[in-house]
Amino acid sequence: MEEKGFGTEELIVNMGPQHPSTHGVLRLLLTLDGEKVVDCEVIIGYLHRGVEKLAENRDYKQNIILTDRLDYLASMTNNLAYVQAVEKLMDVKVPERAEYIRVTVAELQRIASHLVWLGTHAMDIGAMTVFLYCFREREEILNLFEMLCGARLTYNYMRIGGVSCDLPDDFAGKAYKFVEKFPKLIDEYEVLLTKNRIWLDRTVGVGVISGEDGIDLGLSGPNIRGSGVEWDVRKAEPYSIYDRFNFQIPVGEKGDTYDRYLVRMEEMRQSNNIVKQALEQLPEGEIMAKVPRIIKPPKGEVYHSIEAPKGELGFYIVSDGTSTSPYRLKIRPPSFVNLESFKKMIKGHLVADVIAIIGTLDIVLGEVDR
Amino acid sequence: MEDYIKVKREVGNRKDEMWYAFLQDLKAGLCLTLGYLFKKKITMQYPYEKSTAEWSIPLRWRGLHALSADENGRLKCIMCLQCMKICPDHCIKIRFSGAGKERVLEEFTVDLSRCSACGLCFEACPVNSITKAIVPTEKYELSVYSREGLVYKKEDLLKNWYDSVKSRIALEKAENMKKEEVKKEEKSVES
Amino acid sequence: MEGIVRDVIIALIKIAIVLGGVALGVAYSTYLERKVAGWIQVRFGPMRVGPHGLLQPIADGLKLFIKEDIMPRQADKLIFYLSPVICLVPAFAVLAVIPWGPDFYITDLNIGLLYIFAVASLGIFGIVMAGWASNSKYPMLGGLRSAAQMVSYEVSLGLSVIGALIFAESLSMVGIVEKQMTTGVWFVFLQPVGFVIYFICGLAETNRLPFDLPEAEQELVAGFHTEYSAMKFAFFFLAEYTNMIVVSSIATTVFLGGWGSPFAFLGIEFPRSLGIVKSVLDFGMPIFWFLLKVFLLMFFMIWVRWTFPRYRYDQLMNIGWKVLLPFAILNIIFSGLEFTLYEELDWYLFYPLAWLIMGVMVVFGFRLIKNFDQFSYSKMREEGIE
Ligand code: SF4
Ligand code: SF4
Repeated sequence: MEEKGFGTEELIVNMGPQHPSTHGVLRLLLTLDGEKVVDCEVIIGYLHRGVEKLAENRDYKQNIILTDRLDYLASMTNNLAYVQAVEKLMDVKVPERAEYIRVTVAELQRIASHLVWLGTHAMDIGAMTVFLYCFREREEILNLFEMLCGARLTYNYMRIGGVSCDLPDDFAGKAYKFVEKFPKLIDEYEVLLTKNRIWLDRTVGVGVISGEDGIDLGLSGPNIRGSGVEWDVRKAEPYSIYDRFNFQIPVGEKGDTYDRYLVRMEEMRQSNNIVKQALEQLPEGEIMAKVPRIIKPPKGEVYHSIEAPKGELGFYIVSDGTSTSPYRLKIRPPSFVNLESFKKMIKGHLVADVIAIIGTLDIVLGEVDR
Repeated sequence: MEDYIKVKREVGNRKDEMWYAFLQDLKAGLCLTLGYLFKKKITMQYPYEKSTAEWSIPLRWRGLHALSADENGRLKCIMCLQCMKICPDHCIKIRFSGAGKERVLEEFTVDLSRCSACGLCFEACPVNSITKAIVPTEKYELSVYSREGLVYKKEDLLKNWYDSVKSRIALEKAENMKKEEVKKEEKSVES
Repeated sequence: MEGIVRDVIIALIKIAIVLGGVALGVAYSTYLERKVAGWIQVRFGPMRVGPHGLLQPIADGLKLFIKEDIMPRQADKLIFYLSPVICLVPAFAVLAVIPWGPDFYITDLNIGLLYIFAVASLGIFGIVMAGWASNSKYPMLGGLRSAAQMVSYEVSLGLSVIGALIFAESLSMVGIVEKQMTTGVWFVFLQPVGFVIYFICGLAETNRLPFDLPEAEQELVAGFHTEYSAMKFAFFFLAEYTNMIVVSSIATTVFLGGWGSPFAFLGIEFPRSLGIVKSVLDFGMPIFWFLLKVFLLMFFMIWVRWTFPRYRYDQLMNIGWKVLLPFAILNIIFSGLEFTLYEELDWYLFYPLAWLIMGVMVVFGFRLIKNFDQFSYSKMREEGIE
């Protein structure tokens, strides 16, 4: 054996799967040189439930509840992506009112999801109070959803061909009230964070990724827009009725944590605008298209993706035309793909930045492991 | 309107330098939190307080299952097995004897330990006289001390129905409908 | 002989009162912390144990007392046991020289402030040892962080009070307060920059957010005391809050006029006719003012904690060495100048001038250190991207 003199060694630290800020059960194997991260291995799979395989044994309608449990912070958009994929496969035309309701809830969901992101991200960096302020507003959105469909997290609200139930009478009024006051509350979070020197220090220049690298790694959603890439499925390939609303997609320039923060903050404002417009234009009418009771799409395959709060969420469905369950269902979860770039972002940063970068990637382990 | 906009990024702005030198950014944050110190609190003191002025459990809440009964206390279920078939988690078990119109419901269990509260069973039920035959109630405190406690039998489900506000609402509705019918009949008699 | 016995007994009584009072104060400062945190976050805070949760600290103490004491198998037993004690004892020892009132302090050392800095810095040994003895990775990182942090901030902490000491012309805690009483001006008005630096360093010394890196909950789980449970954990907890009280008390003594009433300039005295009440009031009011000031400072510390994010380790070091230290030194230089002016000028000339110079100093200092402070660090990194 080689005699070791006075020297330093690298330290291997297991961060997670039980760790307060790995946002679930992510496990990171960090190799540390002092406080510096020299290498990092991301280990996933602690929350694997085999959703894709389960889906092959359930019928199309039952699969909606599986999508609830992917990104459990944004069930509405998951529902939306899935039902739209099936609708595309079956060529169903969704009634106007249902489309408007879908957009309303999807954008409210985006706000709710971003609020959780902001709260946990800020809390990871130490600002605990922001967390509670964010959850206060999120609670209001959840209350709205609860009124709408009777659940707070796993909504199972959308159906192939429409939505499961119409808006309750006081929904529009309450939602409008929320939308009216929400921008002021975003300003409050910004007072606590945007210009705060500590926040700047912790986020500026942390976890930088360039646009090209981001594209190479398949980054999507606010994460890639933070790097200045103009890509948002809502604008690039408008689905549903997004082409009818006035809204803008914010993009950053440097691709660091601060840019992604700014992008998401602005996105909340824009989503708020969309909800407002959708509520104002909400037409009367049917909420379900005429679809057969037993859903049996024709033979074929389809890929449909939407802009979920975390990025591009896609469903790829193969139908053999004879059975009531998909032959194969493949999910493209944004968190999973986004997590890929973690290794690139973390190189050379400090332990504390690990937390900041996990926060800024906005991952949900339910979606990563599926 | 442009589709994409650049976010405003103000880092190390020269103009702000003095603002930072005199700790104004910190002051702004501190003022905000101080303001909150005396604002009205939003906590709900659960379990002492189960609803507030702003919130009470909505009627659509997908809580504990219940089997609804009509005003004579008869179960509305027609044993069509729709709910059993749609349930993705196979938690509903129905057994009946007899055939045709004479069917008798022998067993109707809902195993809540497997239920994902998806609400598909409520939706699938074809019965629709005032309420569906299987309905969600507004009960959300579902914890019990044993696993067996989570398996709800026919009687438990009926009891749930009578415990819930929904039975009262349904009863009222039924009475109103009856009254209206009586009125109608009276009218038709008059005319 | 009798005299000595009497002195010892009196000292013991005083110690008992102070320790008991501080222990109670610590218990209720956790209550204060949780209440203020709750209120800031639009919650209620503790509400269930007793009216408005007033008995919560007692319940917490009981809970910690009867909890299972877990000792990691790989830990270094002796050091593991010793470190909470080492952490706590200096914190309590410092209380000896804190003047709660003109007639109420355990002792008055003529080198009081020096004694405090010397003893208080021993506390970090406890933390470092705890981190080491746990034989676990997160505590070790926490321990190392705290060693570096405390050593760096101790320097600026010591330097920041020197300005005030120039005016006080004494190191005795009682002497400092008395000087402020006789001149009738609290040193915070003469030394605002010193006070700010002192306070920031104080936050760092007590491991409070934004400098709570040794125990950074979200990174290191709980830092150096991750492996500690039950009473041993309670000791660390006690030490942390005692340190908060100590830091606030020193700030009160050195900068905020100690037991002096803020209305002293009105010259109101309790009338003689009150008799015994007067003597009670004469004894009690200064203590009240002192405790009030300590309370306000503690409140401020808590308030800060629930408002700001946390610094990163390297930034913490940068602030300590590249921002606070230069400022502290600048402040000393300035204080010399200020002291000369103070001696020479009338107050209506002196204050505007002094504050003007101070403003210029801050601006100038900020410009000067901007080249290497934390700010430009972020900027540097940002420019590095381009
Ligand atoms: S709510 Fe869903 S899971 Fe539960 S019994 Fe009904 S269909 Fe089955
Ligand atoms: S769907 Fe309704 S009627 Fe049919 S078996 Fe279930 S509860 Fe009874």
